[in-house]
Formats: sequence, structure tokens, C-alpha cells
Amino acid sequence: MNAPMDDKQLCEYLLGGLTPEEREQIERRIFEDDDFADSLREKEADLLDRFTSGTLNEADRRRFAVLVGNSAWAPKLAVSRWIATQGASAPHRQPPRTIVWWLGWAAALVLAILAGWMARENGRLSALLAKPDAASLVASISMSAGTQRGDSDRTFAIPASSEVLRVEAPAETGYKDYVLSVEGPGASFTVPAQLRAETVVAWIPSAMLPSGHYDFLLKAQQGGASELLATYPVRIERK
Amino acid sequence: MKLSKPQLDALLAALGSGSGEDGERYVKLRDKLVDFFLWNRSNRPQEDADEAMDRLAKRLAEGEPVVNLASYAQKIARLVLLESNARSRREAAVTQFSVTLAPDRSQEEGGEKTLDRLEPCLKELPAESRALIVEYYSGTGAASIETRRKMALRLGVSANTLRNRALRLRRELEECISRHVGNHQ
Repeated sequence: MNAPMDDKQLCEYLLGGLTPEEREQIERRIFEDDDFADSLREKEADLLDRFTSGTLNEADRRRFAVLVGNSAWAPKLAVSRWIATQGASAPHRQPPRTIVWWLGWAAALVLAILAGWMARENGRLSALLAKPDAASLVASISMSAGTQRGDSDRTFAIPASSEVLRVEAPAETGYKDYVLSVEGPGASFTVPAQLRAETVVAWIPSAMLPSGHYDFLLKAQQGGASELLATYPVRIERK
Repeated sequence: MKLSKPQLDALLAALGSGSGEDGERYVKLRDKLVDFFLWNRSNRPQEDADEAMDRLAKRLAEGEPVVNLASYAQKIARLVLLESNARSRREAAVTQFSVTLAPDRSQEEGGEKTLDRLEPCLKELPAESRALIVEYYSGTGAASIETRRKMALRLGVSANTLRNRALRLRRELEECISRHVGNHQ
């Protein structure tokens, strides 16, 4: 006999939550029960439509953004966006939110590039995107797996025009929550990082990284504890 | 698909037991596999679903005693997911320390491509189907429940039938976009 599952559990499953045992229980029912599989698909459509219409709460929105950052979700996002533009009533739309500090607009920038509909949500982002060379305001660096302290520094030349540095590093199996700590001369701070498929992405305002040597420390957070996964020694040169 | 005819026959027989609905059940199982991989963050849910179907068919053709096909399919899917994730990690590791100072437009271009593919797919869909999707998915909460209740009454179908119809149309649109994107890459 299958135990009934509420909407919250289905939502958590789709957002990547629940314990492995709970996920397996849901997956067993997906394969055994057509109607249950359809219930999950309906929940997925609901999440997508609330995501694209801006009515998903901020915490779920961030989690869902990680999930749909996978290109395999692009067709679903396109359909959802089309539905949102067709729906005449669009009720219960929440007023635009002010997203906390630079993390909000940096994360919004990714989503806006992906789909283009979030630009209206943040005044600063809109101003940024209004510039003809908006994309060049973001510089990206990628870290390879297994780089550890002791390896020679790698030098990254960051254009002076770049306002945001996007840092990518390989994710570790079994972790969902990450932060990236930056340690250098006169600089020591930690920024949140998002898991996107097999990669962790963090955004750092370029102004926080003047030229110099830094250690980028990728850490996983679990149960209130922080675990160092990898250290990437880098040299930043602002040009 | 890389299946031989005996393998495909073994899978269809296990799915349909000669009921004549084996083709529909095949599609349903594949759809579930695609969703399973998508919901578990696979980067290639379609390919992983095909791989799982292939393995399932091969095992059945080899005479593997399978009491519960759904449970067996789930176990194979879990295994394929682990392998797929490991492959993705290896591919990611190949990219050694690289700096991209040029604008990263890949996501932007991907999004634009996807939207470009939406138009022909919408044209393939009858007007009443487009209207049904929009009406069914309009509104939220209590308003949406009431909208759907009225739709079901007007169309003379049960709420469940209406839900399945909306889901199927939505899926057709998504799959059409996927095909068009794939064809143009």
C-alpha cells in the first residue's frame, strides 16, 4: 500500500530535496502508477509557470533556477513562457522584488541571459543590460577538477570593464549547498555558490578582487557544517 | 535505438502482455524514464531514457526473470543515471583551467534558439489545442481550480481526462521544440 503524498513532498522532490529513501519511494511510484506520474508532471508544470510568472517564493525560485539552468529544461521553459504571455488574466502576480545585494542581480543576470524575462525585475540589472556591451561586463573563469593547494597559481586577466566575475568549479557528488571563500591580501570573504548540473557557479563583483594572489576555496555546507572540497590558487590581473 | 527485433519484441511483450496496448505502454514507460532523468538533473535525459530502454529490452530478451517490470525499470534507470553523472563529471574535468574573457553568449543563444523553434511548433498545434493549454494553465490557486472545473464541464470530460489532455498537449509542444532544436544544431 502506497502512503499518500502531499503537494509539498512532490514539490520537494522536483526541487531536488528529500532524503534518498524518500526520493526512491517517489520514484518507485512514478514507475508503478501512471496517475501518480501525471500528478508529478502537473506539479512540475505548476512550478514552471509560477517560476516564469514570478509568483514562486524566493527560496523555491532559487532552487528551481538551479534545476532549469540545465539546457534540457529549455523547451519546458519556452512553453511556460509562451503560456505566461498568452494568459490574459495573469492574476496574483507579485510586485517586483528587491533581491538582496549583488547576489540577486548577478543570479538574475544568468536567468535573464537564459530567457530574457527577468530584466524587468531589477532596476540595476535593467540598466546593466541596457548597455550595448552588457555581456562583456561579465568575465568567466573555469577551474578544473582536482586542483589543490600547492599547484602553481594560474593567472587570469580580467578586463577593467568587467563588473562581475563568474567562477565555475566542478561540483562534488553528494553535496547540494556550496559557498566559495576568497582569501587574499586584504581580502577575505565568502559568497554563495549555486549548483548547476555538475558545476558550481559563484558570482563575485570584480571590484572586490583587485590585482593580486588569491585562494578560491570551494566549500560544501551540510547540516550547519562547512567542508573544504578544493583550493584553487589564482592570480588576478585587472587590465 | 540499437535494439534487435527479438529484443524489441521481448520488451513489447513484457509491457503489453498481448493486450494490443503495448505501443502505448512503451511510450508511457519511455516518458517516465525521460522525466526520471530530467528530475534527477541529467544533462541528456532523452539519451539516458533510450539507454535504459535498450538495457531493459536486452535483459528481457536474454531471459532475465522479471517479476515486476516497473521496479526493474527503476533499478536500471538508477544505474544509467549513476553512469551518466560519472560521464558528465569526466567530461567536465577535461576542461583544464581556462579563462573565457569573451562574452559567454552560449546560454543567451540557446534561449533564443529555443524560442525560435517555438513558432513552428505552435503552428503545428490546432488552434483549439493552443487555446486549451492557455486556458487550462491560466491563473493560480483557487482561481485555476475553478477554471479547470468549468472547462471540464463545458467539454463534457472528467477533471482527470482534462488534466491528461493538457499534459499531453504541453508535452507534445515541448518535444516538438526539442526536435527542432536538435535538427538545427
